Amino acid sequence: MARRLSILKQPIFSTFNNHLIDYPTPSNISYWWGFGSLAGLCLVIQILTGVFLAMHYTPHVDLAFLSVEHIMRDVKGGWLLRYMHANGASMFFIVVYLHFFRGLYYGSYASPRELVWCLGVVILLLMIVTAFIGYVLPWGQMSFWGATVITSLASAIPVVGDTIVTWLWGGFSVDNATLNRFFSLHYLLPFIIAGASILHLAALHQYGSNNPLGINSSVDKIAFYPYIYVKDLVGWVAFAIFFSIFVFYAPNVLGHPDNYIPANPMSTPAHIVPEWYFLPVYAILRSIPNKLGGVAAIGLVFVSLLALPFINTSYVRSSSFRPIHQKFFWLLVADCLLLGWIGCQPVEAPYVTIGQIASVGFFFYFAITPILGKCEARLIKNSNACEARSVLASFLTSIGLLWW
Amino acid sequence: MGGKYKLKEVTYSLGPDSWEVMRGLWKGAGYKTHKRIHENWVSALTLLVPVIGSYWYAENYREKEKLHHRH
Repeated sequence: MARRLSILKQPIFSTFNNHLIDYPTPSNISYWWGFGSLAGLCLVIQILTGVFLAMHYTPHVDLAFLSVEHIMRDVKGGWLLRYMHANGASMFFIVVYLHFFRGLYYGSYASPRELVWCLGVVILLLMIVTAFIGYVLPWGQMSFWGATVITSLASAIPVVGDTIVTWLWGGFSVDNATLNRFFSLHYLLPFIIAGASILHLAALHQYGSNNPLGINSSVDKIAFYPYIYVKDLVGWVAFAIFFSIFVFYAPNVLGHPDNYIPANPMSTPAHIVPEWYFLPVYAILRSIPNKLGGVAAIGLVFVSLLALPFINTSYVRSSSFRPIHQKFFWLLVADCLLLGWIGCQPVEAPYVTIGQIASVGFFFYFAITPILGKCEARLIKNSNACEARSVLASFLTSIGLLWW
Repeated sequence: MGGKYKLKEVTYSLGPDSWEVMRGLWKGAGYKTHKRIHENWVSALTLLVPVIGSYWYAENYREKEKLHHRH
């Protein structure tokens, strides 16, 4: 610290230094805090591989599928680029979901980091849109029919729905105009995600990182380099191994075999299934028998996520010290896993019922968040065991009433 | 950037392998594992029971349906 290269004090380098080298980090952060930088790495991998893929890809309905095959067979290292890009999207979502659940468990969304959380949700939304339109580009059966099903959802919006769908398609069906605008947007959006990520980081660095204890760590900070850098590096190496297993040994396990069949508007696949990372949201969409209701439920998922920091009433951040919340957190994780499983099952009994219960369970977590914080505050206040039991009983009653 | 903090003094010296910190990695592993399980078994149940329970219910339901149609 005493000896610092003078170049790091120059205007541009000082910003770099303040945020990535000498950035004060809580000394007690765990490996779970490494998923943020890992998500940044995933974004870089996706942009780099994407740029090189775009050099060989042709966004035309007659050539798109063939150009992907050309990349796989004729372009030197093309197979690696494509498999890295396709599996990289899945890796990106795995990392971001883990990052999200870490934030949820340790209360990283709580004041004063509301903006960090909200920007994170915006990034997730942008990622979902980017991944969806990216999946359309190979112009396989699942690309075409996935695009048809999902874009048609907008038709559920009253009055302007059909106009929006026509505008999205650039015509009266998913066709060449759709493919071209999706390609254009798929190239643009990652750079918007990168910009939003910088804002996410800037908002984080305004108050500093949270930590597993969820307490103010101003008195115990260490420099990002070399301590946290080395810790992140462990995660990067583990990630590289995990990613490589998919790229080199199971490159198609996360995809759908139907996407190796060229798009055919005259033949609908038996089961139209989105990519695995959309399955929980897809399950919520299908759980509601009404089309507009399903679309509204998807909207409500993101509204709930955005509202979370503002409906939270707990003074304690970390779930390590919130035993009741801890159980609800794990129930939410179980619920999301169930929704993911239901999303890829056919729409029949008993999956419909399980999906509907799991969908209610998802929103139930957000509904009880305000009550939970208040009840826990009372439990902390009343250390008397007897009173604590009565507070717990009233809490359970309120949950019962809410459920009813 | 989170205000002005006094960073802890850093001493650049030997690498972690030379500090022999890795030797402590497995120290008390049994106790640590027991403590983890003891403290988190209820959370583990809240995660596993709904997932496994729902899967078991669905499989059981489908099996019964199959048998019902068969006979």
